[in-house]
Amino acid sequence: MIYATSLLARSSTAVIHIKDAQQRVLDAQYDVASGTSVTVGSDDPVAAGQALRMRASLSRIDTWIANIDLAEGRQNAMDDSLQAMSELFSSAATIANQGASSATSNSDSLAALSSEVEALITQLKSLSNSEAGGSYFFGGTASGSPPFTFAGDVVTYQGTTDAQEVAISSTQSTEMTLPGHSLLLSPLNAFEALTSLRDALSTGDTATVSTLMDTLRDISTNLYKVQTKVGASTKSMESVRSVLDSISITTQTDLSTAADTDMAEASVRLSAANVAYEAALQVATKIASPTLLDFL
Amino acid sequence: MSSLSVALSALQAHQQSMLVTSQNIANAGTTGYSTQRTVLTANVLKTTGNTIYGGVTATAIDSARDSALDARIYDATSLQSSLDTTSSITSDLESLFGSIDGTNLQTQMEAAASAFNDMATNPDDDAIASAAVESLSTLAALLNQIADGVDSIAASVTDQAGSAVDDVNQTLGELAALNLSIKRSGYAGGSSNEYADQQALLLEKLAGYLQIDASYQDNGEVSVTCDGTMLVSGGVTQQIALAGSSSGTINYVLGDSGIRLEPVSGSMASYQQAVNEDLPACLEQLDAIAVALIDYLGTQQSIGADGGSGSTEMVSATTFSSTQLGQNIDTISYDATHALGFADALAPEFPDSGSCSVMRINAFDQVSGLASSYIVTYDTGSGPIAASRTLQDLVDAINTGSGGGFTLVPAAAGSLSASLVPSSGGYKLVIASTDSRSIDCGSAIDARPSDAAPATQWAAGDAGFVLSGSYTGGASYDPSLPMTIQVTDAGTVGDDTDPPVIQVSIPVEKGGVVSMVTTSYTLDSSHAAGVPIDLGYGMELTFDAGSLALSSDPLEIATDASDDRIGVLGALGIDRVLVGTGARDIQVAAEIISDPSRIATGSARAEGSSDIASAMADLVTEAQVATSSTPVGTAYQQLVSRVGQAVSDAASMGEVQTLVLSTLENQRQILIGVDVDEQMALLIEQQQAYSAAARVISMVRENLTTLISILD
Repeated sequence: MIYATSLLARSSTAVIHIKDAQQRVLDAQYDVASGTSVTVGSDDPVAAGQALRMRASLSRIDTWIANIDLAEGRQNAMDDSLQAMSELFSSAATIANQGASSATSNSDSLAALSSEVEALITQLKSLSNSEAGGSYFFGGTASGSPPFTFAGDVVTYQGTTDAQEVAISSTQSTEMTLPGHSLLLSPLNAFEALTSLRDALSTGDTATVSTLMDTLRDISTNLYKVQTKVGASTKSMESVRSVLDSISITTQTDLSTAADTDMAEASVRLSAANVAYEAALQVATKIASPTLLDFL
Repeated sequence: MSSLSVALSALQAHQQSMLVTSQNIANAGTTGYSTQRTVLTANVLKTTGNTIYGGVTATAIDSARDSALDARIYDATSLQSSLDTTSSITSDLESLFGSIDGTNLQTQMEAAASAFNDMATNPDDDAIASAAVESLSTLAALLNQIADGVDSIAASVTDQAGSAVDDVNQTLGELAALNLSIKRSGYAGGSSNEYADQQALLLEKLAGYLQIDASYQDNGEVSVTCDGTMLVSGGVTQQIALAGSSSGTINYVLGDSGIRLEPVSGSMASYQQAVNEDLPACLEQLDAIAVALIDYLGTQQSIGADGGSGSTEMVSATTFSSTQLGQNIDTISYDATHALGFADALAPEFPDSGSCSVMRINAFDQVSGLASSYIVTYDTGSGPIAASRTLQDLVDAINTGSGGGFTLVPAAAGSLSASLVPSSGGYKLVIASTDSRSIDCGSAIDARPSDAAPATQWAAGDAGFVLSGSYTGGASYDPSLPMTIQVTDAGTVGDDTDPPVIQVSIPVEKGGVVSMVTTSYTLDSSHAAGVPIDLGYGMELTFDAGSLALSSDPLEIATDASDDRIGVLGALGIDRVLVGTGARDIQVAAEIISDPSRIATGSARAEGSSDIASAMADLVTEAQVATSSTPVGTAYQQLVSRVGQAVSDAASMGEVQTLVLSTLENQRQILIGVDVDEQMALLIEQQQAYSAAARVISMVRENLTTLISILD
């Protein structure tokens, strides 16, 4: 290409080259300093769209993982309460067995056993209103207040019939509470079973005590089943968390590939841009000289 | 003497050449100056008698300008200017969206979703509800800010278009004046090269604003056309004016004629493209995102039940003019000022045949837990759109039972009232409970005949019950087929020896046909007091302790699959979380701001119900832009990518065009640029020629002196 040799052409060409070199230096400096090559859509429209989508995906994953953390804590605490309840009814069944046994069926021993059952009733009342951080486990969705109220032996359930659930993925949710009604009142009334046992032991009604043994075992088995279900749910959550962690790492890697600066490439680019800029500046200083005038 | 005259002509010619060269050197740094050259013509050497003629004459001063090259530069300048302007405007637009890795609309939508997720895990926590409202307010403010930014860019670009028009008109005037100067210069026999340079500069300036075609007369006068319209001819110009419209678009018109000028390139073309198409398209997409958020959260809110601190009245967010009060509701459409009316996407759609339910209004006693559900139905009448269905009709129906095709089922005289209350700029619809109950528009079913206020079909002293859940048995409502509960065998609830038997009939839609499904339940210990009976179709029935007597008539309970079948709630802005008609005016509803706990968290009135909050937490993926069914998150990503692509395209095309223009400019500089070295060489040459001519004169003088001395 033949270049114009006029003063104006040389100076305007030099200015264009200086500006161009300056912009390249600034671009490379920003990429290196910020660590990201896609800050706005025009940096790379496709990558920008991908970056937004991946950041949204990571945000949702963070929410689900936070939900899993919350639900896991609740379910672990629920598991402890259910374990204690299950053991409580195993103890009650053992007491009933002892009460029904002819060897121990004198009035004093029955009264002692009745007292033990009374202690179990007190323990069950406490366990039925188990809570952590002000959130009650067995009130269904009504987790803000104690689900069971007691007036003597009369038990009133004030919770709801639906469990409170929380999303742990786009398609899955898990229970953070359980409806206490179906756990302790229906179809088997756990409180009634214990009070009946207490009363039967205190009155020496060994026949009723014998009858209650199966009910108590059934309640214990039912509680164990619910505990197993909660445990399985916790286990399932761990699997979901593992998958979410994996997706999160993959997404972060993809995001980094799409939007983060390739430092090696950017550093080389910055160095080259600096050299070009300095060269452009030096060339500009030579524009006005020499001319023929210098030799006349 | 002849030699003397020949030498004299040479002196005069070379003196003029040196003058021109000096002019060139003097203007070596003058923008637009074209190198001039003296055209020397040898006089014919001939003799007439004893007289000899010859020598040299400077016949003209030429300029090296190439009008074809200039025309290509004008075209390239127009395109370059167009791309630069587009790049600048779209860059400004892009900056409104914030940083991809910082705070932007996407992150704010995610933040709002996260806040709703927190509500789902703590549905009764007022502090978390307040945080959700705060997050939504920030999201709405960000949308307002972006929309304002787009408006601000549009206003700025319109101003720039006005300045451009002024500058173009001034330039056209200068070109016309120059034409006159060139004409006068021709009459005087002078050179018009400097005028031509000024002319080229003005044309290039003009080309930056709009594409032009320049044609030249023999004397150098130029005529300029654009889009086939003559702008300059001789000393006459056609002035351009900027015409705006009420919709904010701009057009260029010629003088007072009103004829439009449609530039296809140049900055004026880019201004017009930006104000009339690009910026409105961006705003349209932002509006669509805003309306999708309003609609989605509103829909969730409307199917939720407000069991917390519900108000005794609901006020429409939309304000209606007095004229609109008498208009058919589904013909009140979006207007450009956003001051009144519905957003297009929120406008209700009435079917023109058959009856349908329009909206549900629940009146709920928070102390007793009793609720009544009223449904506004709509019947078109005998012909298509026979009913007037105005807002006033809706008010009449709620107050009196019917009006303009609307009917309230069951009639709610003394329980509900509706009114059109004057508000700034028009009227707002207010629906209120007249017996201090809270009202909502949810689909939760709560009906409980109480001992204190038994329904006519329920005997005094009978055990009360609670019907809860959300009816899912069909998508249409037939007032002639209400859900019924009837005691068919008296007894005591939960008593295995004397249990009552009830019969529940539920309207169920299958294949578009609604039929009754009847089931009997024996209320023995398996359905004891406080134990919910699963009725299916989303409903549960829970009886209190007590007895039930035989009833001759069944208790009728209204059921409805939808709270707001045709979008009346959305259009009126009733029971909304967000209100507004688009990105400019989206905001959190005033009643939600004053009481965040009014955000519905669940579809049942049971404490802690949180399914609605969970659904709201999915707003980024579930709120969809109406025109494309695209989730708002994706719609925003597409918008950012599209604007980014526009900036990138304009920048990369601009780089190419810069190269093209630079190449053309280089070609022009080769042709017209002042090469100082070349001019100095010429000057030496001219100086030597001048010296030689002077030497000739000196020699002639010596010859004459010799001759005179001989004569003496």
